Amino acid sequence: MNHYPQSVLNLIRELSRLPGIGQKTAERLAMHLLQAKASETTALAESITAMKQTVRLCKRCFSLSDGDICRLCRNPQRDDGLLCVVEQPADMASLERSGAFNGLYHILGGVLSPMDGIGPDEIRIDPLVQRVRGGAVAEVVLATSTSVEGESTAAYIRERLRRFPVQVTRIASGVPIGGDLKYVDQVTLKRAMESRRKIDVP
Amino acid sequence: MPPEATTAIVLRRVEYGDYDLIVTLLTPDQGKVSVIAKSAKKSTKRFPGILELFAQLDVVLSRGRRKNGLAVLQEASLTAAYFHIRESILKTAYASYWSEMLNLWLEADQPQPELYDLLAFVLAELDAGHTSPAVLSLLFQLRLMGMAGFRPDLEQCSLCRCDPSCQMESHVYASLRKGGIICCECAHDHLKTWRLSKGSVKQLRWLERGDPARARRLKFSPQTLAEGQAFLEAFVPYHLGREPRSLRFLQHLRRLMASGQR
Repeated sequence: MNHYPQSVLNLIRELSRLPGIGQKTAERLAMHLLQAKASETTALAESITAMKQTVRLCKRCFSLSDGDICRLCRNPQRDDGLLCVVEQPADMASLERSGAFNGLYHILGGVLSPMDGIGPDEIRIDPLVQRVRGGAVAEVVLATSTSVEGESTAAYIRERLRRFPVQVTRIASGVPIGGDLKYVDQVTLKRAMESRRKIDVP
Repeated sequence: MPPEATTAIVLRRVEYGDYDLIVTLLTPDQGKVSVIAKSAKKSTKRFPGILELFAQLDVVLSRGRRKNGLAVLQEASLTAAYFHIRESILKTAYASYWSEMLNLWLEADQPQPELYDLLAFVLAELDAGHTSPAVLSLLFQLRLMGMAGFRPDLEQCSLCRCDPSCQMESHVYASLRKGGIICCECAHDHLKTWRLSKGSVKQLRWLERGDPARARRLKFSPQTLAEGQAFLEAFVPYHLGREPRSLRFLQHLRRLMASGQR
């Protein structure tokens, strides 16, 4: 490795700090960047710098934003009476890709985890309660994960919101589309059976 | 080595890389075992949603030639999911406290059939909701301490060996360092941290030795629960030498609930 110039070694070292990038991949990426056009590498460097300088958390929903309030929270087409609570910005992105939700979001930034010492003060539950207390929200959809921590966080939020005149719902768990029933776990099957619905005859 | 089949309870799970999980299991025959579940996070057939905390499983493990290497989880099927624990943050906090205590205290690969039965019992009772979580926690802590060789002496004064039930006072004190109760005559100021009524001591003794299945029928006064909780939640970390993070979480949660903020 020492036969590379110092600037290339620096780039390989920085790239190999990225998740999932080992020394060899970092070396390959560095070689690719070395051979790329100057305009491409400049664009890459500028976009990284710009991202670090401009991206912050939305003051309302805590998703990633270029300004104080994110694009979704500013959009008048979104239903501001409907609030979906998710763990991370990536969960919000998944829901947005599905196109199934037209309300606003609240990003918790994690879930309650007793063994990791993550309590109610470590995630954004108080700001959620304040948003609901504001009165504009009619329904809160709890879309935390279906792990033990995600479920118990949903149960905790439900308790915290009990005293407000707001409907609290939980996303359904069930058999995945195209899934094979014999490979579905008992917990999911139980939930799917509990949430079965009537088939409407056209 | 040939694969080994056993029953197990999940004590802890930690993400490893993008797809794998490292799962710590409590088994009756091998005690605490850490296993790697390869591709578990994207698995839809081998481990679909079953490697969850507190789940009781039938598992098949295989070990490599290296004695200290992680075992590999080959198969797992769910025998008890304990649905209702995850539906309550308080129940989750208690179950986390018990699991973390075992994870911190147990040596790997030492058979623990009694501890396995004890954990399976308290998790099943917690899930069923027949017995209060606070009572189950007292029972678990007392019996765990007994099995660990740190059983608190609730029979006689740890200093003068007298029987406190023969004394006039309605209470005794408890000492972490002395490992049990202290009569009022021996208790100096620095030993008066934990005050226990004689009624509380009697009920704690029962929880330690009585038939656990009958615990649900017993009535525990709020005073007994508060005294026992305060004493044991200091006694256990003192003797195990570590304070579980979930204990701090649990105590914070109880304070929130008491203040009506929950």
